[in-house]
Amino acid sequence: MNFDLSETQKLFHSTVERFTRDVDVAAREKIRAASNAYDTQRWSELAELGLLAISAKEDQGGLEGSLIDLSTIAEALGSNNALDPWLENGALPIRILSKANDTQILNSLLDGSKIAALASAEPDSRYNLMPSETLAIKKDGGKNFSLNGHKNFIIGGAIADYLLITAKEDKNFGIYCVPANSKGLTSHRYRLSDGSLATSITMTEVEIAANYKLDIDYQEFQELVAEACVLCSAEMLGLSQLLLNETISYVKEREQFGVSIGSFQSIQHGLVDCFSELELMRSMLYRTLLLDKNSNSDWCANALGAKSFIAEGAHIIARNAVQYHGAMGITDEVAIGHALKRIMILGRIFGDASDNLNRYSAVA
Amino acid sequence: MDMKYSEEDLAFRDEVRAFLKDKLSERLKTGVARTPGVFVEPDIGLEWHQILHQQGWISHRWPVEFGGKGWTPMQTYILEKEFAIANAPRPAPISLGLIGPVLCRYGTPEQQAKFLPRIRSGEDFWAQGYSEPSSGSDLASLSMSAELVNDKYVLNGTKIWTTHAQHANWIFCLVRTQVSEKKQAGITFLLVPMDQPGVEVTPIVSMSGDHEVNQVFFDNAETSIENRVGEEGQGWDIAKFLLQNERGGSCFAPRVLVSIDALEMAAQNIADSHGSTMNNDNDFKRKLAKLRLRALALEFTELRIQADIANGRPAGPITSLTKLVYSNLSQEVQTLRNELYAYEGLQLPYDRPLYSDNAPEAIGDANAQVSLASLLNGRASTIYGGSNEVQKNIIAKRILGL
Repeated sequence: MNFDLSETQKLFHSTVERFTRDVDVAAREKIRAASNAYDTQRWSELAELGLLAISAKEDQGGLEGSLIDLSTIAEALGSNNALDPWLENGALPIRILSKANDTQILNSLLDGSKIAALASAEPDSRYNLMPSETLAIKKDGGKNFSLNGHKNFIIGGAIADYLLITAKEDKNFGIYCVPANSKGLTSHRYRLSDGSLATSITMTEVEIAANYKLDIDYQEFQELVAEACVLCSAEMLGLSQLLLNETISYVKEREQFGVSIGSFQSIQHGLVDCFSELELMRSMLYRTLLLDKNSNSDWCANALGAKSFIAEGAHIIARNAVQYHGAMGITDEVAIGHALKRIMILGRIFGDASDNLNRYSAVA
Repeated sequence: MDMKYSEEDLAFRDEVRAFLKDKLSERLKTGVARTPGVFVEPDIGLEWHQILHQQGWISHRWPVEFGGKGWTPMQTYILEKEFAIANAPRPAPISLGLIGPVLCRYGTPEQQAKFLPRIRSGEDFWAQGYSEPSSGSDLASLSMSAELVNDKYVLNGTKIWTTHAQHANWIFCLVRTQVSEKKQAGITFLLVPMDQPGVEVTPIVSMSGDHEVNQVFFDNAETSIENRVGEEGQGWDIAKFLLQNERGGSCFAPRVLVSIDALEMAAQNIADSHGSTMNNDNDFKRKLAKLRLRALALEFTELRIQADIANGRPAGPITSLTKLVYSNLSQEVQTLRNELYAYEGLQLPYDRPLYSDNAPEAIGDANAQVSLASLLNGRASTIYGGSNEVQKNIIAKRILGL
């Protein structure tokens, strides 16, 4: 039994650190002010560093990283407060296309020249993964599909060239890779809590060729989502570590009543509670990563349970980090607010802590 | 990163399971399940002690030269986990877990030769004389005095919260041999025979109706200078060593997970208010799922600590964290269990033991009868062995650097 990172994983960790450390609060503001709220030059660098290829299989031109490798990257992005949408525009869509073995589009994603995003959520389905109001209908004797319906909360949607859209085909689940500029697809952009631009879309007779349907069934999709939830957990863990580190440094420096506020027992005990949550969150992540997927039929539920646990802990730490920073904590000038706002997104993708707990408690 | 058990570990686990299947009787398991106290009574504990002694496992954690097994930290964890799953009694932790390791480390060869075999055989039963009425969390302020007169220490003062002192024939005491400016100095560690005129044990009954703890009064009681462990004034170092042992290398989580499983089972047979059973109650299920997630996280934290120890990185103050998390968690489980039993959770028989033939009939399921007493006794877990507040002070200072 051993919980240390491998040499390769340490290397990924330091690669991410080098890539992200120069983005301070001012640089972040500048990037978010750009038209897409992102600097796509950074995306090309991310590709060059191999951080995209790691999500695809070797015979697809990828580096075939394990979930533990990917989790190391996600955690490092979190602990460096990165604004790069590696998870939502990188790991998640690339793993879906890798599973479907759609090599042509995959190639363009791995070299960073094209970007994809998942369009799964629907306005009236809350966190349900099964599409209900988006319909795919075969036409032209099965040569084409026509898509109709609505999708919301397409995180990373504004920079996406391809949308991976889930839809109901007859009564079955289907997922389709659709160019974002397709005819009949109208898109509305809006800003999310982390400053990125998401989209919601309306599809009216969007026509796509039959080979744009991905070879993925509902169970496989649920597994991919559960694995993405593990990566959300890992990023939240990294963000929480950052928040705790920043807060401990701050209370040591900040003086009131002639002493550092970190000398007050109420603050010490509050931070110990945060530290305790953080250690448990890390243990929970490791447990999930090391659960044998093949011999555990409830793996997906366990991954969601872990996300529920980690999201709740991350929120506790984030709220306390703001509190112990005093009035500075509520400004946009310190890093902790950005970490809090990213945690809010990660905690709610594919279900919030309460929803994920329901899924877990149904099988636990 | 991997969490594979080695072939040796798996073989060891099978050996422990076979032993438990063979030797752990229904009587002993019932004794554990129906004891609401923190410790089992000697009739259960000592029977199991003898079985472990015959097996050669009773002092498995001690150094090999004194009767330890030299098992790896992982093997120790496996044994503790299998014992927890099987609901085995915990044999006298004060004798085996506290004074035993102290004597192995600090005892003279004569003390080791005299006392260690008698701890292993169960012949001696030890009590712990640490807290005093005015010295709880601030242990170093203790005032029980020991004066050296002709090769004997004469003892005056009192110790409190002494678990099972009514069954003990020896007590180890932290005493003051010198009044000095630094209160940690001047403390000495003495072994004191209980069976003498100057020692009186007074019971303290807890709000559950259990008699586990006592106050012990020393009125010119005596002990030979040969029963001093270490030098005069070295008592505080020994006390810290003992407390670290008390907190170190824990295996708390398996016990909590077992109690969560039991709760889930029990819910299948308890009616809800709407004609169904409590295992279908969404609120109960969510509370249980939350506790299970936390217990699983605790288990992995304990495994991470074991892996660190195995890789030559001693545990240190992180063990304060497992004690903190465990004690809160166990109280939450006891609270949920008691809520589950609804009206039946309010019965509080004062008869002991509840596993005897003379015990009153349980209202509802047998576990409902011990539920409230367990919960009430369980409130002690965030207080003993260093209260939560003390553990937090330790973590804040030694880990967070505050």
